[in-house]
Amino acid sequence: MSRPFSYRLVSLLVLLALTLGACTTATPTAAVEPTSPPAPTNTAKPAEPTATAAAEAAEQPTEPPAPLYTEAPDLAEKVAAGELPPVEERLPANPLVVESAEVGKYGGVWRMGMRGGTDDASFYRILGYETLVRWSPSWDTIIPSLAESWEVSADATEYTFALRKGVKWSDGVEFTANDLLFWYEDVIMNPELTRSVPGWLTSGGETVKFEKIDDYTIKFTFAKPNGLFLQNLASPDSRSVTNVPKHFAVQYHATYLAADKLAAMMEEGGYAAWTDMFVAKVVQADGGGMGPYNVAGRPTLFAWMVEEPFSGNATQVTLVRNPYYWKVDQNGQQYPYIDKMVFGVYQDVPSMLLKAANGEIDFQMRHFNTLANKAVLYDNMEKGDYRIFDLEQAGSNSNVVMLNLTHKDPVMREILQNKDFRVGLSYAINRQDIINTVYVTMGEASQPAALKSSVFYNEQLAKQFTEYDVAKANEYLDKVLPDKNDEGFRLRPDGKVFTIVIEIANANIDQVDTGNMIAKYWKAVGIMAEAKSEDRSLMYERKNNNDLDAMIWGGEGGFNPILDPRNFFPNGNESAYAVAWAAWYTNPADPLAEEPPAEVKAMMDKYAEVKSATTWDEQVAMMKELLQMSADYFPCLGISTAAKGYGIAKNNMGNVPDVIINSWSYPTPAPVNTFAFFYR
Amino acid sequence: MLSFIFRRILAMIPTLFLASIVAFVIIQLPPGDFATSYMANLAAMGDTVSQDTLENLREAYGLDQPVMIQYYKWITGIIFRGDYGLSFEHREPVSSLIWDRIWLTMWLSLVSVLLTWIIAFPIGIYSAVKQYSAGDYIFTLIGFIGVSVPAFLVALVLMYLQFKYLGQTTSGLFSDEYISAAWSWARVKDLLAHLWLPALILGLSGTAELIRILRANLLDELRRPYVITARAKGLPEWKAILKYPVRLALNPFVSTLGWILPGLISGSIILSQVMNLPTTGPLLLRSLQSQDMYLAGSMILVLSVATVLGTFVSDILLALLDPRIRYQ
Repeated sequence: MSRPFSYRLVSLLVLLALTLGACTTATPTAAVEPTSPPAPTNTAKPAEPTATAAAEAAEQPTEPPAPLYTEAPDLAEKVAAGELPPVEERLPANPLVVESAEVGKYGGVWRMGMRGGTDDASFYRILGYETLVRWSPSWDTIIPSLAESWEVSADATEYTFALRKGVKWSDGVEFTANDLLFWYEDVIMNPELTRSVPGWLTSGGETVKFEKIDDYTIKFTFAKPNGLFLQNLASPDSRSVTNVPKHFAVQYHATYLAADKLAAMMEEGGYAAWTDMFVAKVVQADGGGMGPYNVAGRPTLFAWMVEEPFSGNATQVTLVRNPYYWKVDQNGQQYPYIDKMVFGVYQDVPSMLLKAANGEIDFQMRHFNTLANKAVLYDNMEKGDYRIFDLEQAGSNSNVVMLNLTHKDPVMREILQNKDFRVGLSYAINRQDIINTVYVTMGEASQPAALKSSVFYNEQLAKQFTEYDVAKANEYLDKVLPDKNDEGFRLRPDGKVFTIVIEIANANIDQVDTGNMIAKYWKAVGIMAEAKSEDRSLMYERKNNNDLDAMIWGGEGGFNPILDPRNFFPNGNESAYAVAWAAWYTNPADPLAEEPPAEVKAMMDKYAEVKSATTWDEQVAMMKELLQMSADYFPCLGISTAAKGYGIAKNNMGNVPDVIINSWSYPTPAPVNTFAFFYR
Repeated sequence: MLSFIFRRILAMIPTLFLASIVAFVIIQLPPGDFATSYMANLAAMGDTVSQDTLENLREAYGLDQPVMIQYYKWITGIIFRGDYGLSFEHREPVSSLIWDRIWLTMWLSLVSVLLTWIIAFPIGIYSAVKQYSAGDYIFTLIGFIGVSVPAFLVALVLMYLQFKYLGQTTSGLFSDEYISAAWSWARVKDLLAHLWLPALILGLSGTAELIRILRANLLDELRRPYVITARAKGLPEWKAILKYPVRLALNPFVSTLGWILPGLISGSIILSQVMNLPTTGPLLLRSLQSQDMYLAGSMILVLSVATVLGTFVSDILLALLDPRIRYQ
């Protein structure tokens, strides 16, 4: 232990020496780094001289500083040839030191597969997560990134960030508050580009105010307390914020272009509106879309920059190392370790699977990693020279069974809103049977709830009514629908047979199987139920119009229910069990909107409290109260905790954890530092 | 003849107009719109999109307007400005997406048609001339398999065998180093090296069909008295077969020649999907799935134009061959 520790000490000293030398306010970056187990067991050769030289420099500050940072060989060649400034000038004064479990070496190509137009998340999750602040790898705190430090006012309305000085875009232009100001004034506040400002940037119905205090200090001011702002900034919500290089974006922005030049550019590109061109080349207001990957050499803060861009006809997208990337490892080696990325663009999943099984994909946890394909990938592990790692699903359940509490038919609505009825239905399901048959024994019986491993775990929420007990089921159902017809099916108060259709997206084969089994169990207790699988667009459309009886869908919120509480109270139209109440919550003027009952309103009010709490601990405490209210209300049914997912990584790829949390809010695998992956 | 051509051209205009309406309306028929399927698609991949973004999309793309207005904007754009609209999914103009792919698709189809003909003609003639011989039976068997087994299945089986025994994975039309290279002689050679397998698979059912048709037609002709007369007069056997009966047996191909054009664009959809070929097929399929209506509509429109043009060409060829049609 002593040896690695001394390394860390040295690098800390180096940093201090450097920051002091540059006459800036010292922020000991290393101190705020996540304390991942420090285990650089191998002695990385190139780092050795650096460390000792740096140690001397720290002891004798009068001597000219020795090279503190080292770089990839291909960059060193360019420096030697005079094409690039030396690494010290390219790095910021205070680069972000990210300690990697294993000190890596430079080189190699990382091959992956992605699927066309809407799959920008394939890039984002691997390399696009460069935000003001980020999630720690364990997803329990927020750590500095492009922002070195921040202050939050006591009422959670003012957020002041100090930017890391001297960070440069991949073309060498400095990244400053001006870029963020451009993002705010010319993207977010431009009504043509952003027709309605994203919800996370508003509070109390007003858009956040942005202020540039100096080149390296910015301030966000909300009208009402917004305690979730930092979490939102660390999540994919904030994708666009640090992704708009002003000097590049002005070439495509109507405000900064002469009308005739703009017209000529649009004519040439075939665009009907300048906003289409801006979205295609720069960024979309919410950060989604292919803008950041559509132009070769587009300035970026990512670890890799685009070499061959994505376009509708691309069959592959390649990215090469960003020479100005602003992070270093504990030995002062500039990240990233891997030279180049190649994303193949695939029309369908089987051909991608074949590539993976043949060892032609180096690391991936997307598209082909279904339960059904696991056997194939397992069989070919040796031949393809890869290993399988686990994904801990952050989803709250494998199947969220949502009965429509705001059904258009008043009779149905009254029945479904009756908690006894939902309890009865829950008791009627043999969850273990489903787990054994559909999920090959993976997972345990559970309602939609925060996972045991999260701080939000609530046993009542997770476990209530999950035992299989037909007698209890009938007892509860008899309280609501006691009358049956000759065939044993329960009748509604108006004498018709009570019928419920469970709609399921046909692409989710496991949920279709589960739905059929649920229908069978419900029939056994006199509920005429039918599982109907259909195209998911159809299902979504019917859901959005409040036309469903019931639907099955997966659920987020198992790890961080604050960010995605959809299964605990109706907060948006993903809460398919109460679309009308959710509509009221988001916009009371919506034609679908209906005022929810008092106990649901109480949860909505509680969530407002969560949002206005300033500290994480307070937020957790409030959210736990909300989850207890949700447990008592019991809005939707679940089957089991989500079965473990998996991904594949080449055997010689280092710094890949054995288990990674899988979620969109924590854009897996980015927070585990993909720039530190390397080939041994 | 000229008035015949003129009449045919006149008839094409309302056909194309109707086709464009049908193309556009069909895409609107499935429930939901691009925004819905975009949201559902992202949700299925574990990503989410905010409600604001969807509203932004709907407004920006005019999805909230009535169908007739959307159609009017689209069709006038095409007629007056050559603007096929914007692909929602790719955020790129449709015209910049489809032409590259049409080019590659044409190559694939051309090679496939040539291979089909090169294989089918000799075998068809052989089968007819040596009816009920061992060779005829073997080719008949292969022919039936070719007609009945879908091309994509053959592709899957071949891909699996290649993976299992050769440790190779073929997908795409180029080797890795040529994927993004500029066109050069080496790249053309690389393309041809990759093209023959999909072209062969694509041509499989066509080849089988062609063999069957050629054999049947030729058998009819070979029994005609003029062939017997020719033989009796001592005409060499190859001339007695090739010069007249084969030419007559080819007649049906002329009328189906027109179908090759739309086949160029739509054929091979599933095969391209399976073999990961950058042709128009997968783009069309994907655009239909994601309800990317301007892209899908434009491709269907191009397809309709190709069909109408193809039919026009074969009508003219038939008219040239058969005077009765001309004077109707």
